[in-house]
Amino acid sequence: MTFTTIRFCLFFAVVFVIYTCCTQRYRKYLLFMANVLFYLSLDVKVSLLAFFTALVTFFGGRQIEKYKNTDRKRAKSYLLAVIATVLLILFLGKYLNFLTETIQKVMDLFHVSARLPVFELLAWIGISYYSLKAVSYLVDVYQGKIQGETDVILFVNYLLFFPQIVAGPIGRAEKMLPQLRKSLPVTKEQAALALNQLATGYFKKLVIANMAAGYVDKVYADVASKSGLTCLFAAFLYSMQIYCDFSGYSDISIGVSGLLGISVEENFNCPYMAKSIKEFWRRWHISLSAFLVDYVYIPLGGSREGKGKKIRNTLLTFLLSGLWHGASWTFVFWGLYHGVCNCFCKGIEKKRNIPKILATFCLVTVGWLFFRADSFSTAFLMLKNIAVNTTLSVTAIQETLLVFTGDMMSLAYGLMALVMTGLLLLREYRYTYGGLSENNSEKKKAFAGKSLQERREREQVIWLAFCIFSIICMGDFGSQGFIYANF
Amino acid sequence: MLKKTLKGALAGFLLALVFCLVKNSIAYKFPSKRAGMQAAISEKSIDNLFIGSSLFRQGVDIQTLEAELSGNSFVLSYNGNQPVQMSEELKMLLRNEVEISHVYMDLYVYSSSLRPAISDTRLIWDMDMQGKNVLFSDMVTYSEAGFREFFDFYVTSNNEYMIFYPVFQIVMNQEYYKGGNIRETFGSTKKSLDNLGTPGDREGIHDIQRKALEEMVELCEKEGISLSFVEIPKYYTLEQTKYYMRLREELMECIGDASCYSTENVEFDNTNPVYYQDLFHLSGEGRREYTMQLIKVIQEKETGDE
Repeated sequence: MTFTTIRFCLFFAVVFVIYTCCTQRYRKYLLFMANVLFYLSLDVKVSLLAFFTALVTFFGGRQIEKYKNTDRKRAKSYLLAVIATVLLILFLGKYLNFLTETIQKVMDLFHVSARLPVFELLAWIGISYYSLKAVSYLVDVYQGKIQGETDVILFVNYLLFFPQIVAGPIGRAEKMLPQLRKSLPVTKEQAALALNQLATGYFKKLVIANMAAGYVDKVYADVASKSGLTCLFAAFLYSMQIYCDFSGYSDISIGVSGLLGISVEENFNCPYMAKSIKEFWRRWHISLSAFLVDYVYIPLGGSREGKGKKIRNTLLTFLLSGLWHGASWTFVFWGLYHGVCNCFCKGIEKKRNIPKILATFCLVTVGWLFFRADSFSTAFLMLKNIAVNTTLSVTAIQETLLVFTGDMMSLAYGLMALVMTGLLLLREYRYTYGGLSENNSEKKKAFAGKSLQERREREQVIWLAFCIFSIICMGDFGSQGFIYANF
Repeated sequence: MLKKTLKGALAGFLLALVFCLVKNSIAYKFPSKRAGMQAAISEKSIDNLFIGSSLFRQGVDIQTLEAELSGNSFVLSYNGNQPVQMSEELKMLLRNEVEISHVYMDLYVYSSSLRPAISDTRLIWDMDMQGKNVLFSDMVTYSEAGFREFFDFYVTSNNEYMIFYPVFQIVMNQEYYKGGNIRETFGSTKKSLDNLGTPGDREGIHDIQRKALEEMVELCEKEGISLSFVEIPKYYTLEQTKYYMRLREELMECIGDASCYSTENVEFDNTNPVYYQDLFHLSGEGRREYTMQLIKVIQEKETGDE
């Protein structure tokens, strides 16, 4: 039951109506039921394991809470034991085959004839997300940032909150648990924002990401036969696809949460408007970046112990980020690539700098080649094709567009993909540097005669109408799942 | 703010509704100079109408027809065009008072063995509302089309085309002339054609396609139009497969004694890979050569009839 199915829309409509109508006292039970139903609809075995993880984390949190002020050592033991359990489940679910395959490759290298088994793993939907939520909760309880939760229903509602199960954002307990405890109904203001966010999310996913996916999949299926221009266009479209797919999911998730009265912080903030890789990571998958900074980078020492250790810590953090995204060496490479790029970044400029925005986009796009490719050879072939075989002739343009539909309609599809991505990027530019940006508000106030808030509200209404129109008329309601649901 | 948001959502919905209404009820009248139904209608009188699938687009050379065959010729082709759709296309042309002397209809085993389905969404664009509704009701009756298909058919299809219609026309004008493809397409090699393999078997000619072929014969008789079937030669590896031969035989039985230009009476070297783009579609060279041979047989037949 992904967000783009009619089943989910019906499911959520029912949950929303009952949740809004019932009294505050019963809301947590209703949400619990919704979470159970949503998870069961994905997979029974996997949901049992998710609830097991939730219970282990809950009771672990209680023990840590009990001893954290009196017996620090014992509390730490509990902390480590529960984190180890959670990570072991994550490892068994996601990385076991990666480990055995890697060992097998090393054994093959040394001509060892033994064959290691390949395990049939379950489709562990959401495991990466709730595992990180569990770890952050346990550490926060241990560090005294939050109190260990005493209500198991409430805790399960936090850890397995259905809008965030499949692909995040990784909501923090300190922000979500108090809201879940209050279970306040949605306000008009919240509802308006949530509807906007929902429409934007569906627009990104159904119109841009799915349209791009058809093209990108065809190119990656047979890179060798594609021209440089086709590969270049596919690389650009993949950058847009992955962004619109993932941020689209986040937007829908935040919108759905908002309609249930739960405010969740933004997970993306116009990442392709970044002027450096460092800034990119402050705008891309913000909840993961914040998690990695708080629970990996800073505990490793951060930037406090000299330049050498800062580089080491940065690389280690990005390596983990890569590994978290997928159990494959291409993901590890992608993580390290971003780590290296990050090490070369000096700081974050506030002013607009279009050449730097474009350069950062190109760097990120190169990274996505490794992220998308199923092997290093495919990624390097894409790079080679782009670098060596790109020509701008009429035939090359025709061949490039033909991948869309294989016939004359390709031109329309190609143009539509470009216009839609262009409009999205233009909107993000206006929010980051243009008339709707907070930095520019004072300067433009007199000219526009309206406050930033008023202008943003007006723009949001127009944008919403555009999104609804585009979703209905241009949406691709095919069976494309969300990319980040695989992580 | 919520009120404004809901108004915005409603505006978007209404805009989509109006857009789809315009697309379905008026857009088929948008002029098209070189290809498709509107181009055929604007001809007003067509002596030789070639109506078929992409096999006709790739296999019938309009410039050769213009030069060698007497009268005004036009190629009306849509990818995967099935008999059930071709019959509706002809009806629409007649509704628009196009005078037609001779119809050459594509005889294609694979499109005739399928349930009604639209491969080329341009057909939906080109049809008037009456034709659209018939095509969709066939899909409902014989292909179990439901809400999803309804949405694709009436709402989603061709929206990109409608938005970029002017740009699209510029390209169409360069690639088509009187419905025929004038873009040069190159032939293949034996190795790559062999590597393509052959498509699988089908159950047989579908009942509704069989019915549509009969209906086409009746319609042409009623309207005083001569009707001939044309079978574009496929690459020999495909034509030699048992299931293709069986399906072909079945299809030939469907048309009975109707006039037919098939591989049996039109000479063409279907073993030459240069003449083929793939197992079904001819290359530019193949298209010209085949059309010459076809015209020769048509002329011989006409002389014989006289």
